[in-house]
Amino acid sequence: MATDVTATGGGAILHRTENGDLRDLVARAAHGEVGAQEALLTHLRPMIVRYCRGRLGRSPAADFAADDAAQEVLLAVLHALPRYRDEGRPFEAFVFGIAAHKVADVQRAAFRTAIPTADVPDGVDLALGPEERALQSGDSHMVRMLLDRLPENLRELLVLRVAVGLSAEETGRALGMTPGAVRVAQHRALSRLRIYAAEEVTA
Amino acid sequence: MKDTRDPRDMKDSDRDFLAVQEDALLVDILATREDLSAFADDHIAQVLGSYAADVDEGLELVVNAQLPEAPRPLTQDQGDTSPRRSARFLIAATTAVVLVGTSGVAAAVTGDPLSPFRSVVKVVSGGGHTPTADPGRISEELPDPASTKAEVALMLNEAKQALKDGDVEKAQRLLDELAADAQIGDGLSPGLEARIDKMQDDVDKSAGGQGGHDGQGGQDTDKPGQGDPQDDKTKHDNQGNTSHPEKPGQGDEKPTKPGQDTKGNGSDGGSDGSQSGSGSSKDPTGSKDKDRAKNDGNGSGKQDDTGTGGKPAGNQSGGGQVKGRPDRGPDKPDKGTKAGEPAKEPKADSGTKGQLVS
Repeated sequence: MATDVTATGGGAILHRTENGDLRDLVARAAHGEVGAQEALLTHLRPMIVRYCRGRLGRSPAADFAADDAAQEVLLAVLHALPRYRDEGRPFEAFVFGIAAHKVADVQRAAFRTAIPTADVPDGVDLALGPEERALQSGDSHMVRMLLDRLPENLRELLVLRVAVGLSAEETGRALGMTPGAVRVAQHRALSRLRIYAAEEVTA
Repeated sequence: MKDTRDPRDMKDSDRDFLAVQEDALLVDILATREDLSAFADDHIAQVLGSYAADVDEGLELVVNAQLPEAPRPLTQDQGDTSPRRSARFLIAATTAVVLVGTSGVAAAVTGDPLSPFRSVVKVVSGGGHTPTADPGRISEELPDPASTKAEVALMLNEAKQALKDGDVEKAQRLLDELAADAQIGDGLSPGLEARIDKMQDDVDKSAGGQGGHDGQGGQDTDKPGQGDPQDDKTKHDNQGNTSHPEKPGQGDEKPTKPGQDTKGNGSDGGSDGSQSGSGSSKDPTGSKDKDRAKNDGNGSGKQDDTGTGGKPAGNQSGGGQVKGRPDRGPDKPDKGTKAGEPAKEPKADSGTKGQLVS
């Protein structure tokens, strides 16, 4: 399995796996090979966490909810592996289909659950300060609001491309689209976001 | 990277294609988390950059976090360093040492290593009256002293009543049964033993009083229809020998209880034909009784049970039946000897507890 780990300024970790190797890895994991299952989950985990965070946000109330949702997605994938049959549909589509359902479950449950209060950290917090965090959260909150106004297919595409960090080819495989269609669709989604943002500023 | 061409010189399709290219480049930069300085004037590019940064914040900690190992099974040995484990071991060892020591001392003193625990078992089992899973087994292992004493007292009362009614034989039989029951004899209190001795003396007195008329002192022969006239003759021949055969029906059908004849062992050797046996069971040497029997051997057939110097030596009987309180000691021979049956082999030294002097 060829895995490329790319670290950028934001500390992001991007995993790239060649499609052929991923198929072989999925096949071995589906047959119950423990090592393959571990490697597959290791490969999927960053993407799933990003997806859940991109969909659920990182507000104090939803921070742990996104990570918990990612864990639930990975468990669901692991349990569904023995029943997975490669019928030509990309495995990413299978995984993000599960993730989308889990995120929807979390969003429904978020309205009914209590909000836990985070403990005071013992060490020095090197993360963003309150002002920066407020600005960032403000931008993130505004993006999520704009994304919520997009049609589902366009929102999913932008989440996969921007939040998860998938390439056009990977996003196309996950959504059953060609890379060109992905590029055209993301252009259409960004155009709508600009229109919505202008409306927000005007409002 | 923006297209530097003048938009007025571009067709719509070209303009759309360039926008798609431009947005594709923007999204690729966002996806790879690269620098967005080229899109500094694009507001939506900045907010999407903030969105991507917000998603990635703390992601390394989450992704690289090691999953905790599965907890070890509870049954797995935690090692011997635990203070609680050491304390348990110490308590168990101390308890075992105390139990073994107690049992050992009890075994040395009483011969029964379980004797210290019988009272505990009795208390735990509700005073010995609570039914257990196997009551027969428990009662066999742990005889109830209270019931034993009650049984002995009942038999003594019956013997007393029989003696009062003149049924000496029955009283003697009851005493014999008491003596035969080794289990009863082992755990009797001194008071009960004294009562048994006293009852035995009374029986012997009665028997002596009945049998003294003919000089044989045997209570059997005084029973109507049991005595044989020939027997009287035999007893009056001054042979002093009590081992002459008796005829059937002389009341000798009672089997001698174990150890009965070890103390009241009739021995001939007297000179006047009177039979005076002392069955003192308390004098181990029997010397007093022996001497006294010799001195009192006047042929009168009176019993010599004055009892001076210890337990009364009142076990005299005619017909060779010398009844003393049976020995309950470990040496209880001659099971098959009939009560009232003369000793078949008179022993010269049989008067350890009493002897017949003729």
